[in-house]
Amino acid sequence: MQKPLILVISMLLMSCTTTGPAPDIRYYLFDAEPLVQKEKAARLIIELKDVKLPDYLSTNQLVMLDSEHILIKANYHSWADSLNESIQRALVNDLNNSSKDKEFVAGCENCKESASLSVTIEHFYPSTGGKLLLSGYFEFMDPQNENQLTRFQLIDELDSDGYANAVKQMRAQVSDLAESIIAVIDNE
Amino acid sequence: MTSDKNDKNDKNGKIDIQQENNSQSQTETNLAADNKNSPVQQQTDTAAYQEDLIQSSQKTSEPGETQQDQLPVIVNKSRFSKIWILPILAVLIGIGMVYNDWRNRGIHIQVAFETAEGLEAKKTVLKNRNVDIGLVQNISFNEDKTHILVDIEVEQSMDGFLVDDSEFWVVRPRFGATGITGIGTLLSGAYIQVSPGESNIEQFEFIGLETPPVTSLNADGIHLKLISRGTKPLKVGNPVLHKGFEVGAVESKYYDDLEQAAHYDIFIHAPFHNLVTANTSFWNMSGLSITTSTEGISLNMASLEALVAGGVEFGLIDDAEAGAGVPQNHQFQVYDSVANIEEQRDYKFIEYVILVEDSVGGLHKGAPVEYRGIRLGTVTEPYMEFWEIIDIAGVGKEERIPVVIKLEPERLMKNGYISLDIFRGMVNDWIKEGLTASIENANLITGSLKVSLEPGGKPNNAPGFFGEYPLIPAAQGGFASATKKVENILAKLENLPMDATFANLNELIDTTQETFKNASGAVEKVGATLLTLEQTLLELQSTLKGLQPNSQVYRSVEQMIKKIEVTLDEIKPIVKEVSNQPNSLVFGGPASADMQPKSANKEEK
Repeated sequence: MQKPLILVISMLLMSCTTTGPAPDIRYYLFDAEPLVQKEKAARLIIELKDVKLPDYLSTNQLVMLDSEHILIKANYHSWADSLNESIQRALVNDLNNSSKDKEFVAGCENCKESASLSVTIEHFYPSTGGKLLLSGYFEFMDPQNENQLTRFQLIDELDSDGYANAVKQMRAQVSDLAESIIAVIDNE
Repeated sequence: MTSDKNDKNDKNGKIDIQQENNSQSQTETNLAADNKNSPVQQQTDTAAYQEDLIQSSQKTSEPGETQQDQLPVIVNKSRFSKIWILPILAVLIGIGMVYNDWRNRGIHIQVAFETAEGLEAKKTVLKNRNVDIGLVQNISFNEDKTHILVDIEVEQSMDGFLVDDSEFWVVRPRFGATGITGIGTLLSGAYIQVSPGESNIEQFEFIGLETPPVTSLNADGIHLKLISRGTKPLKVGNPVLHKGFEVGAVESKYYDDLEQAAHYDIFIHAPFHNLVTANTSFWNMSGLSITTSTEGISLNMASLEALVAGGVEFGLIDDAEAGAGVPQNHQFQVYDSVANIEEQRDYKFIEYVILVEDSVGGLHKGAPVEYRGIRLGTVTEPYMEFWEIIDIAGVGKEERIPVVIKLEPERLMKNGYISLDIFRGMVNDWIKEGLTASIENANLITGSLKVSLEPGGKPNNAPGFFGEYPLIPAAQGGFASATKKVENILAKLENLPMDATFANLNELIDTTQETFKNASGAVEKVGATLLTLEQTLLELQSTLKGLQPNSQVYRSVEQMIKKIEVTLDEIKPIVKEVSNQPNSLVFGGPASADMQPKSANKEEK
């Protein structure tokens, strides 16, 4: 008599604990397709010192703007690598590919007389409204230590739903930023 | 008369039982009346009557009738009634109980104490070696209310404890010089302890001890008396030591105010009592003593136990011979320390006077008197009293200061004996041969002085006296001797070889030059050392640079902190989920997918 009773209670308890499976966590690599840099005779070496991100982006969780002032951090969509380092790598790659006569490096200990560039990103996220925003400013310091600060704001529309597409378009937006930086530096 | 009655019965043929009984009672009455004068006759008649009755009954019985029904049975009445059995039994049991109680009744004794602290009637027990042998029955006051009387019932078989010299005391927690005792009674309560005596005289009233005896009465050893005139008191229970080993204890103490001395009773256990002989010295081991003497400063410290609790040590000092044994209760003097034994011992002495012309400042009573460096006596008075000087020398006639000293020949011999008369003769001979006394510095630190006796003075065939004191001539001392010494120094300075000294001085200057050269080399080395120090500082600077924001270490730490932040971010959703739904850890939570960005084209649609 006892065994069937225990069996029934166990089954009841097991049925209570049964829930739906949690979604798998997806990891996104920001600079997934690096381009091979072409050889060039660089006249100027420019050091991209660092890419500064706001606190809400210094996390491995992807973020999204829900309404005007509400950010949502994803639980199951994460960056595979540190976002500021990824953006720095992507920018260096794009800058080098966009410029023919300038060499962009992430770090340069021996090039004391080179120019330097620092990028500060203030906003960089997709939104539920179908927009993708990248804004901030970059600071270019030429070898004569003359400083030039330029603000930028790039707004695109998302082509399709989901974080996967958003990441793809964010990467493209950074490429656009690289073009803008090259244009500013070339005008110097 | 009875035969007539029987005939009547025969005639009627039937017998009325009532009539028969009546006739019987009547018969008995008659019998009683007849037998008043003759009891033997009465018995004979009764028997005859009974036989008549039987015969008549046999004659009158008819067929069908039993003789039993017809005949009355006469039974002799018992004179003792059964009802008395129960009271008699009760009385017997009562007698038995009283007897038993009387037989098992203990021995009642009475012990007087100053206080009844910890004692309770019907609860406090009397013990010996932790065996209960009695119980306190009652506690009361004596007539003048100065003591309490404890009535104790002791078991009859323990009467051996109740003798004249048995000792009773209360065992309760005590904190004394020997430590904490009676801790066990904190829980069990105080009890009275008895130590059996050796006497054969039975006693039932005792005076209890207020403190437990240090040694039991039966202990084997020797009881001694110590007398101390020092300033270090001993306590009851303090150990008696011999070369650091505890061999006895102080049993009692009292201070004699007339004699101004402390008296102690001590006990030394066998077999160590054999170590106590006539030449044994006792000294106090209490505390720490620092003494300055002509030999310098000495520090004496006892063992830690004796330092805390105190104690008295005994032994033979200065290789003295043991000497003869001592009887029980022999008296010894106890000194404040070993060093004081020599000072405080009572020596036989002869007093002398030295007439000092210089100052006696720094010479104090008890200062040593030395003969060629050997302690021979003591200064009795550093200066004689004014009136005594006047009595001896007259007013204003003696300007010198009379210093009274005593010479103690026993100081020179520990085990021998010398007659004072012989010694006096010896000293007189020394004085005649030129013995002089001078006051010298004994201790440069304390500035104390001593009296020094030295031979080599002017011979003096007629030693003088100052009053009744024989005189020892004073040598030139103090300022006079100092002047002489300065003269000697100047004379020596004159004799110094100055030329040779200057030559040596030149050599010294050369040597000094060489020393300076060596010193310059040393300075160079110091410079090299400073260079090395500078390099070390540079290395330290580079090391510290490694910890700056651009350094690898700094970056590693920064990365690690970032990773920790990222990990914490990952944990946040879990914490949130658990705080919202605590049972989600067990039952799981709703697995909702993330909200994702929407396409702009979709909205347009």
